[in-house]
Amino acid sequence: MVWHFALFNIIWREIYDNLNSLRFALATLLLLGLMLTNAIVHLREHPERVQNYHNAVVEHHERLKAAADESLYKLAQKGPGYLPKKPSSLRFCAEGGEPYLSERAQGGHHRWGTDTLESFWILAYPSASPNRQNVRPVVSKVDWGFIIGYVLSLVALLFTFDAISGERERGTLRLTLANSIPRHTVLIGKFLGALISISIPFTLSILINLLVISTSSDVHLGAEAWGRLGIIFCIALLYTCLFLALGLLVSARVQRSAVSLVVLLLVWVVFVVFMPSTLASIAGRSTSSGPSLDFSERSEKLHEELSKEYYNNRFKEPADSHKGMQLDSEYVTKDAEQQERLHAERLNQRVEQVNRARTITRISPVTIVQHLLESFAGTGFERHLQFLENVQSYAREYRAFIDDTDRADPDSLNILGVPAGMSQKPVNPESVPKFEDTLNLSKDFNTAATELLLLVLFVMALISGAYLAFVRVEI
Amino acid sequence: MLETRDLTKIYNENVLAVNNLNLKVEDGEIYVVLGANGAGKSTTISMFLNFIEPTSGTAFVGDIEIPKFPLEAKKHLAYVSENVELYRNFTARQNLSFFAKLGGRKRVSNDELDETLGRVGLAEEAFTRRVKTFSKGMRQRLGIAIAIMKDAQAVLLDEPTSGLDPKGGADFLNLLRQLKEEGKAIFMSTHDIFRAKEVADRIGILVEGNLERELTREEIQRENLEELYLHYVAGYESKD
Repeated sequence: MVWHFALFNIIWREIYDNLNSLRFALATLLLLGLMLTNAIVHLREHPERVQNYHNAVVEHHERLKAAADESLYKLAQKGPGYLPKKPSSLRFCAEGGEPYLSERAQGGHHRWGTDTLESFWILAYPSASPNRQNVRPVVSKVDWGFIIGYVLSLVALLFTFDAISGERERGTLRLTLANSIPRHTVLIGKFLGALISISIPFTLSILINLLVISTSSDVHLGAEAWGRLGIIFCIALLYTCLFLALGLLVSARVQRSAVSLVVLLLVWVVFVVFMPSTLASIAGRSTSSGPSLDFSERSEKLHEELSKEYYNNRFKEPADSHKGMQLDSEYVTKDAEQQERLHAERLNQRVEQVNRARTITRISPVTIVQHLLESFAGTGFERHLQFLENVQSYAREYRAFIDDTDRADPDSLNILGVPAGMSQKPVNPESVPKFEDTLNLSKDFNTAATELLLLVLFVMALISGAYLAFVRVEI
Repeated sequence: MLETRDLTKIYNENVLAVNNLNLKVEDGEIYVVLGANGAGKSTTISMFLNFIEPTSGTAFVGDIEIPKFPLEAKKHLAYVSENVELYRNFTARQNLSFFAKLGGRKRVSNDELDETLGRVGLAEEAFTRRVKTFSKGMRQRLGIAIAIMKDAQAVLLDEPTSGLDPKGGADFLNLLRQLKEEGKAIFMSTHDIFRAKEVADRIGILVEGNLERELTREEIQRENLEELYLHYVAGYESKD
């Protein structure tokens, strides 16, 4: 197995050469500086976010308790209130457009009331969420997404632009290949040597970043968070492989290192800087949320039509008759259903638009890696969808609890939405379901599967390209 | 032994680099090929090393057909190139050790490395110096040390004396003679008629890919090599 031995020597030489180079020193300083900045900013901002979340949870619990102490009817009518999204402890990995996404869903507000009836709670979503900002890579924050997506990719190109062309210029490639070594061994050696060389400062800077973050009492990283960090690290390495392969491909195709550097910088600017922002702009236009006036008009119109129908029928029945109460119940519950459906429709429409736009931006590797980092950091659009799912599932649970408790009261007429038709007894606040936002790693894997596959395909294609270029080149 | 049989290389743009080249270099023989720039000297060496595929014909080292078994063939070939810069961050010893290991040596002692470096005339203080501080002559000596260290059956030298000072050139010729005495087949391309005359057992004059003339040791001593060379080269130049 002579070629194994040669491979080891080539890898060792590449690492030694890189460790002694100025670019290695600069890359180390740059990555360390950025990772430290990231950790410091996170430690400054995260406690406030956690505090806000705890306050919102307390508010949610107090609202439930106050309503439960009054009666089941009040609990059913007022709803659970604001449902807060749990801030990710890994937000330093990927900001993921979080500032543009809502931090809570609305679990009920008073919309209308008559002498005898009041509107029932509905699940609503703040109108700004999700929107076009969710398709644009975030470059204003120094998070891992920025460091990996932009800085690490550039470092990878700077470590490989002269890997083959430089050796050809110095004559060492001919000397190397004058030995009994297959070309692919040389290429693999160069690839792995560069990957290990880059991994050293990157791993070091990540470890320092995590050391600073984890030693703070304000941030708690559990076992799952560490697992997610491990996955993010692997994704970063895979993404680095993509640019290493690109560097080797161009370096093998051109005669001079200077030309290779220019070509690679051009490709980097196009695919990493220009393309994501341009595609996001194009995609953003197609994700315009539409005039919210339309939505309000539709909402009012639906309510008016329902009210008209209700009053037409209601006046025919005596105020306290069973039939009259059933008409009241129908009015209240149908109104809540209609309004909630309207909100859900608007949300689904926007989610679909953002999803379409995100598909377009996947052409750029930096967007792919940012989406992946968001998925595993528990931030961004996909995470927001998980939150909305949690909210919807909680709403179902809450309503089922109201139904079951009402049925369990022998004094209740079980006519939902009408004060006289529902249980008026207080409810034990402990028994009322509380909203808890959770993350699910297996779901994250499922949502990230397409992007992971795309990234792997990109890497495979470029490695194959580099191999073909190097094997065919006449030296 | 090195041999070419009807070796031909035509590049993509229909440029004929080497045309039906037939030559043989026996073990313990120094064969020097003279020619102007673009005559096909480096292309011939590149085909011996399988850096480029011949368009037709073939080449051998010993019994091994190079285009068919390039990796096996390269075990028996050592190579010294013109203007080799080597790995600039490595010391002379590290460069030599690295290439020795690529050549198949699993372990190389410092004593062995130092002995080879000394043999090519490098001063002891240079053994542990980074190559980026070396002069061109020193780098060339190190390149020769790499070829010696491989201890291959045949040695290919592509204009190895270009840029060497007179002492460096003389030392280099002595090294070639030593390699010849060790029984190596040596194939060297050069423009340097005077050094070729001093060391060659046979000389081939290559003009536009064609081997125009082959001279034996006796003919080399007898003939005016400079005139002969100019005759062939100028003859072709005048045609243009």
